[in-house]
Amino acid sequence: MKLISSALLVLCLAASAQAQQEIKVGGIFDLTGITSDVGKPYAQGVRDAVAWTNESGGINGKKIRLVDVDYGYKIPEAVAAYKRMTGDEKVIMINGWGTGDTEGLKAQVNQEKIPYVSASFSAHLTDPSKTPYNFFVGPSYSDGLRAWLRWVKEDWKDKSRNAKVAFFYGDNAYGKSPIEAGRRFCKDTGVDLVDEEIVPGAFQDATSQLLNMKQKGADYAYINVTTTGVSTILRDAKKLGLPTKFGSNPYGFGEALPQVAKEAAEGVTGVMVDVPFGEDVPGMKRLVDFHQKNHPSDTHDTFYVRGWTYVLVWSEALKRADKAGKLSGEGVKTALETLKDFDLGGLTAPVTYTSSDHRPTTTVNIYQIKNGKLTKAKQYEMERKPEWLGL
Amino acid sequence: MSSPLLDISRVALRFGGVTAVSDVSFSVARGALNAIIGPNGAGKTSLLNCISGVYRPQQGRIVFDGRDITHLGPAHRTRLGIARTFQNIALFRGMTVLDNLLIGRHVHQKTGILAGGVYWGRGQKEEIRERERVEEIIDFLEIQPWRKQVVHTLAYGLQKRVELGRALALDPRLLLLDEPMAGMNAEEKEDMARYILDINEERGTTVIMIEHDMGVVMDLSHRVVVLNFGQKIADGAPEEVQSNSEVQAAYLGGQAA
Amino acid sequence: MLSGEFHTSYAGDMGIFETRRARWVLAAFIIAVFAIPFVAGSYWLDVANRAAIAVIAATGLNILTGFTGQISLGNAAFLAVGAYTTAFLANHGAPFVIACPVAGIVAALAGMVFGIPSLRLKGLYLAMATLAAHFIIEFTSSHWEAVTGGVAGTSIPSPRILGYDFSDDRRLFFLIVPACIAHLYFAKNLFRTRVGKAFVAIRDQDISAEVMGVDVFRYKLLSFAVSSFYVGVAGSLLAYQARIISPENFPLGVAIDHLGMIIIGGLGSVLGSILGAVFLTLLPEVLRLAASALSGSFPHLVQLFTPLKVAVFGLTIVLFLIFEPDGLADLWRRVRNWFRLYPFSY
Repeated sequence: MKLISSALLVLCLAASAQAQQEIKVGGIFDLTGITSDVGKPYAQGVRDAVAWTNESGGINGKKIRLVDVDYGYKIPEAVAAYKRMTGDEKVIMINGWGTGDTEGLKAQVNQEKIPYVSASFSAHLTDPSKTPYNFFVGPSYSDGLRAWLRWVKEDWKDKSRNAKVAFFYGDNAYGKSPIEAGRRFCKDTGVDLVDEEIVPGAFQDATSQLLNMKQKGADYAYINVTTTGVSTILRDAKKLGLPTKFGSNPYGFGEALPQVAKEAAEGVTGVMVDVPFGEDVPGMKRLVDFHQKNHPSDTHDTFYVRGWTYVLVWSEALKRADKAGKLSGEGVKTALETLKDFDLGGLTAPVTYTSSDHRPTTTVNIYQIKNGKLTKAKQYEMERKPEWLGL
Repeated sequence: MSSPLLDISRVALRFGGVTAVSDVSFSVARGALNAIIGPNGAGKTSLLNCISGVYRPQQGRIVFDGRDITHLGPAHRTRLGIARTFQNIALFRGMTVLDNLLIGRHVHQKTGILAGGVYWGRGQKEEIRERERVEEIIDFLEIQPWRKQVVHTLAYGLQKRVELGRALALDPRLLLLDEPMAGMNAEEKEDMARYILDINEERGTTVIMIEHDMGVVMDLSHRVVVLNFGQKIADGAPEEVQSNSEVQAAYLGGQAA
Repeated sequence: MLSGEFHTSYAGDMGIFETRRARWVLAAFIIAVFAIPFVAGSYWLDVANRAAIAVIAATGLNILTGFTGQISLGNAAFLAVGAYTTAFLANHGAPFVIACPVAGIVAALAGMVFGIPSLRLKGLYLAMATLAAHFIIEFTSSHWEAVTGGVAGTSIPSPRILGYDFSDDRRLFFLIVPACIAHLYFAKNLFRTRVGKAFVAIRDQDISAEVMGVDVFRYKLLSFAVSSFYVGVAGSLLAYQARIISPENFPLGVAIDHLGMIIIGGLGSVLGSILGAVFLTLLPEVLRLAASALSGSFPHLVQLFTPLKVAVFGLTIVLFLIFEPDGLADLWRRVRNWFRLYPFSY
């Protein structure tokens, strides 16, 4: 062991000599775990956006080096990867992934001052008095669910009774993240939450949960798992002939859903954080150009776009921190908090962070699948209520 | 001393419908060297298992040194001073000769897990004292060269000797030997016979052995109990038993009249 | 060149080390181990600490499975008991010197409870009973949210002794490795004294052990207790080292890993537990290094890493079972014996 470690030490020394003009950023991705269906396109988006940034001048001339790892959606693997990245690689910040690992690491990133920009939209990460180093790009899971519930309220035409709603969620931190917020919001808006069904991490069948839900008579159901799970639920519901209208969270709703779930996906609504790939918005051009240039035969989706938006946001912060001469974890955090209505060319809503509120946006787009296409149905501006910070 | 060391009265042992031992009674005097003989399947080993506690008889009483031990478990009987060897060697295969013998000292030791794991003070002293005790047995059985060998690598005859040593390490008052000479050549048998005699005479240990070699049985034992089909058919001095017609019939394979 | 060595007293003959030279080799090895924190980067320190923790856990399992012959698939569960006990105590203000041993004791009690079926069950059937223990504890740890934090897990403050904060892996090394050495020393002694020998006797011939006056059931339970104490302490150290624990730290795969460690290292050998645990902790790291070194030419290797790790683990165990059934410890013994009397080995 000693031999290996000393050999590694030599390698590290050699590597650090030529790394002066590099900015190391950690990437913790899920390429093989239960969320890899959406984790892979996201990781691809982050990698491509880093490559694009480096090609287009880098961080004021400095190159970004992405030190990435596949952690298989396992919290202990993420902890080990975090240690490796902060300890030996000395990354300045990390682009993370899951809710469980991000929330698990929040105390450490705060203690060690490592900005942790994670793909998890968990509202628990938005209160800087508790999690000053956690950031994400998009409306929180909780605001997404609230907006969808508002859509339900508007969609429900029978005034003799309230709409009945069910929640489907995975038995993990991501699945449970917005549930408490949803429960409270149901009460506030006048929607009856009649059922909560917990599904396992990876599942091939949701019949028993759907039959439970049928018994409770839910008119609407919100599914808080990734696309593979959402399409399983939709197909099983179709098989059972349920009249329930389904909605999905931002990691269960993308171009793949109508392709996989076919007609079972028809009419399904979902929270969309980023536009679909190829959407006609000003910010899409660089993505399409990069795609044409490097891998024209690949197909991309909204999660790939999401990967890009993350890099666009934190690379801007790196530039600002570098200009201020504070290229450190603390400097990057401060720089992120200077972003105000930072425009992403329509890829996602403009982003604002302040030192007292890390909710980047409260704009939520609800899309609906019509004729197999993702179509924008409604846009909601959710209130920036102080009591919703961190919930 | 007048009371017998071991008194067996009306012991019966059944496995389902099969009766292995039925209504057997006999007693063993202190300091005796007795044998149990009988054809294959006569119930000898089952009877020995009843005495050592591996089996519990459905009927009858077993009294050891004035105490009813019928319902005690084997470990408890061992603590009272009953030791045994097995027909098919039942040594601890993966352990050295020394360790096998040291297990024999288990019941005489007190070291608990903490004292043992720390190996300091009393626990250490006790281990060294027991080692000395075991070395005496090793000397007695002349197995010094193999002390640190793992037993399953030893020759059969030696394993038998180690098993005898392990039983001796218990410091028993009653030693039960189940075919101690089975599978041995003449020379090994002679050695074994000498050890058994020494154990009985010099150490004063009471011995009950099951043996097929009639020559050995007639030479060594003070008294002989003969079993056939689970029943006692004779009990007496070797010469008496030898001349018993029922015994002869049993050994010739005929039905006892 | 070395000659054989002769002991003049039983105390000398009963020492842990067969030769004086072995003692020097060990001393040199320990010094080398303690040099690690001064040369290794924090990543390899993390690996070293995890290896030391795995050594304690594997030694614990070896006490039960290798030495006492009771197969257990409950190791991940007992690891969890130790870790969650530590998390609960530490988050309620208990210092390391209390939380760590209490974690061991609580795990030992759990081990005894789940060891009760060993009265009647052996081999595969006992393995199934301990598997039940695994699932019961796994269910408890993901649903008893007040204590365990549920699926999201719980975090643990860094350990402190007399005001000194063991806040990173470099400092933790000086806590974990001495604990590991103490546990190894205890195990080594255990098997040269009465209780340990009774364990081995039960493994080799339980009826015979009973006839030799060993209270088999009591000692089986004791073995479960000692074993789970070790595993519980390992769980406690793991909690302090990982700082965040969730049910994902303790899947059945961890129990299988530990079994793999003692099979590869050597069943019924303290040295085997060390070698097996270090080997299997380093294996994925070496694979990872290889994968990242090759990632330039094979960019998809990173994605293959996780399945590759599992496949190599399985293959290694199969190869050991076929070619080295007595494990690394026996391999080491043969190499050592060959060199000891070199060049007159025969």
